[in-house]
Amino acid sequence: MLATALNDLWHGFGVAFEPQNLMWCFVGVLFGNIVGVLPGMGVLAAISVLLPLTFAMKPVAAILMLAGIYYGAQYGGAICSILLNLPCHPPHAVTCLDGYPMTQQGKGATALGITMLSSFVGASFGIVEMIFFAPVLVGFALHFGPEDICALMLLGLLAGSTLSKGSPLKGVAMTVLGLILGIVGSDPNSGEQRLTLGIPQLADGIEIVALALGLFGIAEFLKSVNNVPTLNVRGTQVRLRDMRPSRAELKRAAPAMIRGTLIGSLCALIPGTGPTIASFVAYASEKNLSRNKADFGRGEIRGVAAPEAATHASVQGDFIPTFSLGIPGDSVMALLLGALIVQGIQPGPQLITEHPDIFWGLIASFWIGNILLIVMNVPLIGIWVKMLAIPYRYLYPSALFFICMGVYGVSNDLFLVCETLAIGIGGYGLLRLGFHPAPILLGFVLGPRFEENFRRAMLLSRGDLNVFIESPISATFLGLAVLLVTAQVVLYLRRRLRRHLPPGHAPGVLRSPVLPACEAVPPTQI
Amino acid sequence: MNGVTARRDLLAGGLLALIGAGVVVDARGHAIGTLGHMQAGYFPLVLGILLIVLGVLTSLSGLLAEETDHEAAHPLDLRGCAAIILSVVAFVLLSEYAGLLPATFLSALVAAAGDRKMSVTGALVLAATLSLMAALLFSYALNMPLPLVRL
Repeated sequence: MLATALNDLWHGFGVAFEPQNLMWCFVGVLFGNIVGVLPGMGVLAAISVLLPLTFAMKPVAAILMLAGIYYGAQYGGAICSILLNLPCHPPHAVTCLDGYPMTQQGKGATALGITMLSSFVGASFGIVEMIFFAPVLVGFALHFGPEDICALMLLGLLAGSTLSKGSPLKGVAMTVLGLILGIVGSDPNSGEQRLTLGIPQLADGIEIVALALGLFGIAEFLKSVNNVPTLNVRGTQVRLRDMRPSRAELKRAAPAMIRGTLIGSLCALIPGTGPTIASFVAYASEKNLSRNKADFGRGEIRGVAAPEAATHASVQGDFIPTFSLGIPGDSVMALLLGALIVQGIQPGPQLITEHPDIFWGLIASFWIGNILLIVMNVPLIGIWVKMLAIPYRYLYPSALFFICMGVYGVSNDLFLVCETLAIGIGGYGLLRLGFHPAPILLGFVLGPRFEENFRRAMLLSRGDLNVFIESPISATFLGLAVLLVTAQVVLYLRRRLRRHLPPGHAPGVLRSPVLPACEAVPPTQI
Repeated sequence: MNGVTARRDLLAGGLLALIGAGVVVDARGHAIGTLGHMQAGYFPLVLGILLIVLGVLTSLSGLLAEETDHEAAHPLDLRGCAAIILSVVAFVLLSEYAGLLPATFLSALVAAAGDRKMSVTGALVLAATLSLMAALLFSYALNMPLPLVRL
């Protein structure tokens, strides 16, 4: 097993080092890094903008580049948190707590250095985890029947929608809305037009690029316009030689880095718990373990190392269920799966054996990409700091232009631009009503496969729903899903009860007003 | 109970229920079939009913909320939103009738007008840069089949 994995990995390096793939991997991490630095720009928007470009590329190059944007953005995201105390990107919100005090003490460069080191350690471990876990999961998943796949998808959808930002109930509603959007178009069995509202262009379904750019591009701009402050970076200087942490600092940070990595890679295996939750859990446990709790929040280097390592371990680990089971853990992964489907590649447990070049090439590119990122970030840090100051008023009109061109380029049809605009306006309406649209994408990508497998399972069992309980695999997944929902309800009730206690009892540690993302994590979970 | 959150969630739930009802109506236009032999309408029908139920629950949950949900309470910026929407509309119409260059230039100006701090010079430079990019990158390098100028 080990020998084959290493052999396949060797082959993967061969794929990733092909000049074309190497180039696209570089383009991906560079673009991701820049987008991660820019205030007010999201990873999802960045991936969606480049998505149309990948349609003309080979599948391997396409997926290497899109994945590169995702993990590249994580490197850039920490800079804003540490230097300016602004949680621009949710996974790095918690890094503000100790990263910014370090900047105030004149040790911002060291914090960035530690961040990069932690990122690399976390990411490397996440990659190793993927090499060994993914094939094991696949061996297991190849025996799944349609009812098992259905139950697994249900678990994935529930986890993705209830553990993300905002109210779990609204998250589930968004997932269902996504499933509905996913069935727009011709019914695969009879060819009947479903939910097309009589618009002929919708017969092939809603275009994933239009959906992603509408929800994460246009809707986000509508929300952020005139709402993103221009950052003042004057006086923020990062010198290269200050980035190297001292031996004592390294010794202090190393155990935290390892603990953070372990927490991140565990979180990656639980569907629905992405990098944001991993970083919060890592910070909280680091604080609990420490003998001097008062140091946290005042520039404790461990408070920077642990969450950053956790974020990166979890980002890499996120790819495991996506590529071994075909079940995306969050909306970024859903978008990557969507890109694979557009390329004509069916996601699922057969992916690794049928397309070994994609899977092992991707893993090898992770390593190359992470090394590129570290090599790139150290000398370019000064430029990143300057880029933080680009006002939003120049960013969103440019991004809008790229969205229009990108969507038009999908099929050279201006109708798609209108579709994107309509989805964007609808998405902004949902945002205003307190919904978070990310789970829509999850439902949208899984919707057609869910229906197909559900229909097949019911056909095979002649309409007997008991088949979901009789299959031990499906019963386990359903049991986990029930557990997840019960836990959410219990947490909700406990929170309500706590509110009636005197204020001193409320856990206020992570609920600082600077960090809006903290609300995403129920305090009881930490 | 909190008035603002309750009203918002009532509206949110109502919207979900309305969409759900629309899906149910569409599904009933197709054959439904049985659980053992589902036809095109079965799955949408189930999802539509599910969305109606979730809508009702969302409305109810708003009535139970005690705190205002600060996260969603960002102000509506009419000028910015109008500019962004009109910019895309302008892009579509001008690409169709006037060509890529005027479409890019004018839609960038419209979008830039949405920001209260944007200067006229800044907007013009931005629009010119994007137009140049449209010509060199999309039209020349990527061979997009939109003519630069339609006469």
